[in-house]
Amino acid sequence: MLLRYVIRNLARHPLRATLTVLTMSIIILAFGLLRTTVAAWYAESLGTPPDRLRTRHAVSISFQLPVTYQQRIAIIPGVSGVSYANWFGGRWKDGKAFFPRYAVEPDSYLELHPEIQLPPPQREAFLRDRRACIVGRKLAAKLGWRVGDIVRLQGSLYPGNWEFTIRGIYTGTSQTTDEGSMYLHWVAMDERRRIEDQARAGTVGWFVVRMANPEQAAQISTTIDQTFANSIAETRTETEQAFRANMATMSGAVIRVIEIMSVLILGISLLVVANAMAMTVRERHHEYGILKTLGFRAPHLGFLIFGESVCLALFGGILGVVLLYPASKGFGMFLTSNLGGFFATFTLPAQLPVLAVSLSVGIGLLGAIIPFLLCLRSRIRDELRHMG
Amino acid sequence: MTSSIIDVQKVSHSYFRDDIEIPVLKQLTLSIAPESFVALLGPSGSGKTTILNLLAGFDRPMHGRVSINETNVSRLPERQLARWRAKTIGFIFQFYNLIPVLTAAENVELPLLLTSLSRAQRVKHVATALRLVGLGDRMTHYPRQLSGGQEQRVAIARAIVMDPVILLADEPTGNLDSEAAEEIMTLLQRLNTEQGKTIVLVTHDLEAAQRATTICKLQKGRLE
Ligand SMILES: Nc1ncnc2c1ncn2[C@@H]1O[C@H](COP(=O)(O)OP(=O)(O)O)[C@@H](O)[C@H]1O
Ligand SMILES: [Mg+2]
Repeated sequence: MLLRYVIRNLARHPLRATLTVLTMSIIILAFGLLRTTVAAWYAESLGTPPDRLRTRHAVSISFQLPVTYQQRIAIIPGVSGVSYANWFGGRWKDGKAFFPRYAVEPDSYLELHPEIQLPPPQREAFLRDRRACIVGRKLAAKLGWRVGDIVRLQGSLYPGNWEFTIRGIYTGTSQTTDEGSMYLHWVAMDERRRIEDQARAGTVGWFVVRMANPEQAAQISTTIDQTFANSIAETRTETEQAFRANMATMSGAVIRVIEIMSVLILGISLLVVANAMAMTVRERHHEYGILKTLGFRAPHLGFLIFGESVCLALFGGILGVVLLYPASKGFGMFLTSNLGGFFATFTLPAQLPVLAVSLSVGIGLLGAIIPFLLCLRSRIRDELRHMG
Repeated sequence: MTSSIIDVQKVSHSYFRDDIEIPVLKQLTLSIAPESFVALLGPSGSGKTTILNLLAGFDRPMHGRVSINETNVSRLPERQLARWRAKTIGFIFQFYNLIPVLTAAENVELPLLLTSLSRAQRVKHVATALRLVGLGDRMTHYPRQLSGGQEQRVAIARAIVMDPVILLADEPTGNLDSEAAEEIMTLLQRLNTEQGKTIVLVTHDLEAAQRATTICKLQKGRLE
């Protein structure tokens, strides 16, 4: 019976209740998307297998290293493979569709990155043709590319017009593998640099180093960096996770901000619910007075007020979670296709819906505390005034 | 009068507004016998509602003593007071008595929710109370579907459903046309004579007051 009372109370101000529920659902939706973004970020940095190191210029990733370092790294004990890569940069069409482009030494790069899967014929074709490239499955799907298509890029780091034939479309072996990048031949780029940009010819952005035993990571890193100490280009070697984190310290800060925001908006939702409940309780001032004259005390009034507040927050929360599924698909597609380098996958963490719903209940309970205390504190005498 | 059910001894009460004392009741003494029907008649602002609030324990007198059934109301702690009040006293107010989102039956059921009665028992009590006020056929109506007089009768049903010995009515006819007011007064009279309820009616309406067995006139915080 009291529950029925709560439910009918909810319907007393349909507009206010609807607005509160909608606001709550949008906030929970935003919360869910932010949390999923954060989770995707961490999944990405955890997804990298730990058997690879990256060696870059000690000063900054924007300085180049001589390609000749490859042989010297390869002979260091514990190193079982070396490859290298370079940002290619460039613009595709109007530049609106951004995707990472790497110039790599294809043979060793593919060997060191088994998570990049290509059908053997496509792999062969890619290795044979210096003007070839491979693209990730998601990227190809997004831009409608097929094997045999020609990708025209306008150089930025390396000026001029560039054409690459798609010889393969790769897939990732795991959910967290990036499928949104493009790989092309480092030599194709370097040939042109020899003519147009000799200062940078024969250099690479970073080396990828595979270790026979990942437990030796610290020791091998030190050995590599010592090898090039006091040479023209000193190096810094770190695990891929650390590399990624460094490359994107900015993004790391952004992720931190997103984490903070996700908590802040919960605070906003608390205010929304508390405000709606405060208005409601104030309006029913008189009604609570009558209930008190009938013997209703804190537990009963609490049931009415907290019950209504929790219902509002919970309906909003559930609606938000329901919306989260399609929304995260769209949002995820946007992120992985535009920022595939950072967000290879974007899936709702399994515990997120439960978390969101429990948080909604918590917000409902917290939001009702002050209105409830106001209701308890006011005296029957004053609640019944102006009524005769 | 040793056998009074309501005993008010030298009660003085004031309100404070911006630190200014507004004296309302001055050394009021009043004694009401069981099963009587007393009308407190006085102009608006004379302190009628204040007296009822003190009788019910909604407010505690600044000086003096209010006893009901030998219980010193002003001494009861809040929790006990609420329980005691629910069993002993029924209230009827001038308006906005009912909860608009609950049906007549649900409104009457409210005080019973705080008891250990089963659902079936509650339904039975509710039906009895509503029949007693002549609204046995309006159980599922919402307050907005009832006339003012009918609403007030539902409020009376709710006031008596716990079978209290005392009914306190604060201008119950103040908002009704004379015909409906007649009905309400007749109903209260019946509750007094047939059910033996002690009724304290507060009103500024002389005609209504005349239905009571005793009329006390309240003038500037004093009984005349
Ligand atoms: N809570 C209150 N605070 C301040 N003044 C009050 C309060 N309640 C009543 N009063 C004042 O006390 C006087 C008596 O009020 P009341 O008992 O309601 O009279 P009545 O019911 O006879 O109209 C009035 O002047 C009223 O303004
Ligand atoms: Mg009054």
